[in-house]
Amino acid sequence: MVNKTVDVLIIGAGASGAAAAWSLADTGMHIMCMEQGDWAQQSDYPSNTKDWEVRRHKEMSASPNVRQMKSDYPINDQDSPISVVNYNGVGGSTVLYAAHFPRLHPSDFKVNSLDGVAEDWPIDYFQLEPYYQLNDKNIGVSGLDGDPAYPDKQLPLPPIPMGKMGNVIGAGFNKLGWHWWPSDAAIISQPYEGRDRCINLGPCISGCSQGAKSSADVTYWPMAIRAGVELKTGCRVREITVDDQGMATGVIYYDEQGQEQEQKAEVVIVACNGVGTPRLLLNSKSKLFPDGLANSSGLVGKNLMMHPWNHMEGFFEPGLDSHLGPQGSCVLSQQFYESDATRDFDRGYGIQVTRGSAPVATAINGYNRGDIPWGDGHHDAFKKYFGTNIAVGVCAEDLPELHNCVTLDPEMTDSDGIAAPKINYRLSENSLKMLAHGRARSRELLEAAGATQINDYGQIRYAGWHLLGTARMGRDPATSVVNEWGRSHDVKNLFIVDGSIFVTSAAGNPTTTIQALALYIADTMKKNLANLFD
Amino acid sequence: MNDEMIKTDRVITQSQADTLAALLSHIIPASQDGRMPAATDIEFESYVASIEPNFAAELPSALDYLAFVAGSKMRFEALTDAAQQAAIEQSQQKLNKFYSILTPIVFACYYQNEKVLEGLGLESRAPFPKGNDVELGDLSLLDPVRTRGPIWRQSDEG
Ligand SMILES: Cc1cc2nc3c(=O)[nH]c(=O)nc-3n(C[C@H](O)[C@H](O)[C@H](O)COP(=O)(O)OP(=O)(O)OC[C@H]3O[C@@H](n4cnc5c(N)ncnc54)[C@H](O)[C@@H]3O)c2cc1C
Repeated sequence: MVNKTVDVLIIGAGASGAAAAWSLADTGMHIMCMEQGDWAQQSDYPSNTKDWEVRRHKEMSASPNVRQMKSDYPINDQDSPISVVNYNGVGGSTVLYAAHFPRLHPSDFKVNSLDGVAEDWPIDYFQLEPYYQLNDKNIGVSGLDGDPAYPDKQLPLPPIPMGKMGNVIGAGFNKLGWHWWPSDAAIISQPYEGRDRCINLGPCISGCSQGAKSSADVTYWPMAIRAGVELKTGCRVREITVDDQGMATGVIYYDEQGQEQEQKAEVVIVACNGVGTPRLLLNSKSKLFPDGLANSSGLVGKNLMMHPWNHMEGFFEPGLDSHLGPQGSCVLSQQFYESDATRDFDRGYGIQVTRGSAPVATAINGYNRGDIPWGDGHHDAFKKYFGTNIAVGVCAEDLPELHNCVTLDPEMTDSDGIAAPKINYRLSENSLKMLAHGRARSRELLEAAGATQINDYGQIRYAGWHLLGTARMGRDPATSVVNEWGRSHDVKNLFIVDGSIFVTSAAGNPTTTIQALALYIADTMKKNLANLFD
Repeated sequence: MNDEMIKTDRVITQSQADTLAALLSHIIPASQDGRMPAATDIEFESYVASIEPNFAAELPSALDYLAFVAGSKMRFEALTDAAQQAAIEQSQQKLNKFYSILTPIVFACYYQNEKVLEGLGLESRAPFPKGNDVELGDLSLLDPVRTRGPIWRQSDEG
């Protein structure tokens, strides 16, 4: 069945799709968003029940291969030391994200000019700054003004609490003379725009029952729908269709009953994330585009960046209550963020300090490490390790490399028979050196803060949170997929707004930048409506 | 159906249940001050049946093997702690995988149990809706960071 033509069709209702939908709504155009998943219900999240610690690893696992919801598609990550994690439903991966919200630095947009590596972005920090600000205001971001790691910026809400662990780790940083700052977080520390404040439930990454985490389903979507955007859930897009002139004409999708449908559109915006977007483009083959849509550069799916992550934890004297507070946001150090010619690697990394473990995780991890035994010593050991740990993560800038890529798996499909993505990824020499540096500094930090025991878990597998670079932006159609405002070089009415357009990954969580980019692209589209396809 | 089955929804016999109880209290005994219960006391059997049904199906044969290793004269539950430990070690070769799955399940069941959480001085409840109080932290600790001034790199730097 062919439905009535819409003006703009957005595919994917995650962080970027939601922001773009909201921004475009004031044009009065007919804007439709298709999302393969459904609305998540706050009342279903694990933290509503006493067995939350077990449920979070099952139905709300961040791995689609474990979770296996109807809306999930499998991802073949056998040839990658990092597994992709995501969420497929209204709000996209922000339903599960930790909401740690650092911006990029001005230097991140100029890595080639400054350091001679990768490519510069076709835009800069100061062009994006008003959109960072707008996004912070729209969704509610908390943080402490005055961070010397950034040009001046003001956030709408005061910081979320660091807790006692913040004092301990802060003292450690001070001993070393290193930068640190309470984390910027897309979590509201005070009531904001009809939502109540964070009450420190803890497990942000299995969904926020309070609705204080600023995920796209509770922020942009209510606003966009009020402004007239039509959101259709349970619609899985198989391919984007084109006409003989090479313009996008709409999509073929499967509805909730698995029936094939067609939707025509004047403009198509892809917002399926750094894995879902190249998958869709590569699945959209036609006579004019035999290698996949918008792929004349051959770069669709290439240059996947995921931020290799080292995980270390230190244990301290009892009384820290480190298990309390929003799990993924506490303190960020950008001491080693900017490039430094005296180091043996290019670019830099962030040190993200996060909270300790709840009781079940404390016991199981402690047993696996050999610290919490069976038998008589069990109770004393548990007391020693519960509420006393501080996690230190190294988030390494991942430089673009062609061989790190998303392709189509020759055999694996989703439940609608659409080819699944396959990830091929290797850690570069540069990343390995950077992680080694970060590990040594993490240990120094924990020692300076007075840790009585330090465990280094190395680079961790289930850290494919940040999916970037697989349809990058640039001015040259030979070396990029979209132009400096997100429009495909090859298909003039096709736009991409998600993390796949990142040119480089920087060294921090990307979602504030993903959403700022989506707002910037939508705004540029609005300014160019009269000659959008020229 | 085995005659020894004492309840229709039970997956194990009474003698297997006795072995299990002894094994559980060997894994987590009650604390000496009496505040923390033993893992025998946390309704483990029904927890496994409802949360980990695949694992529950493996319980009978594993418990039988442990009882067999314990010896024909003495039942596992009648052994001293040291003898129980010896029997567990002796059964390791065959039951290694079983123990490695059993332990996290016992710990998960134990540390979600009301008596256990109360023994730890925690409230036994879901995090929502009450939440938790967390102190802001001492922001004056940031003074030296402020004093050192900006550390971001100007992007027009060569
Ligand atoms: C556990 C976890 C923790 C994280 N923590 C942080 C953090 O602390 N800070 C941070 O900045 N980022 C974090 N992230 C990453 C963050 O969630 C993403 O960067 C962000 O959501 C990406 O936005 P997006 O719009 O590119 O894609 P997504 O938000 O992933 O949205 C893509 C949407 O497209 C839909 N879709 C895909 N293909 C199709 C199709 N063919 N048809 C229809 N719909 C489709 C999907 O169902 C999904 O809803 C985390 C992610 C996870 C999983």
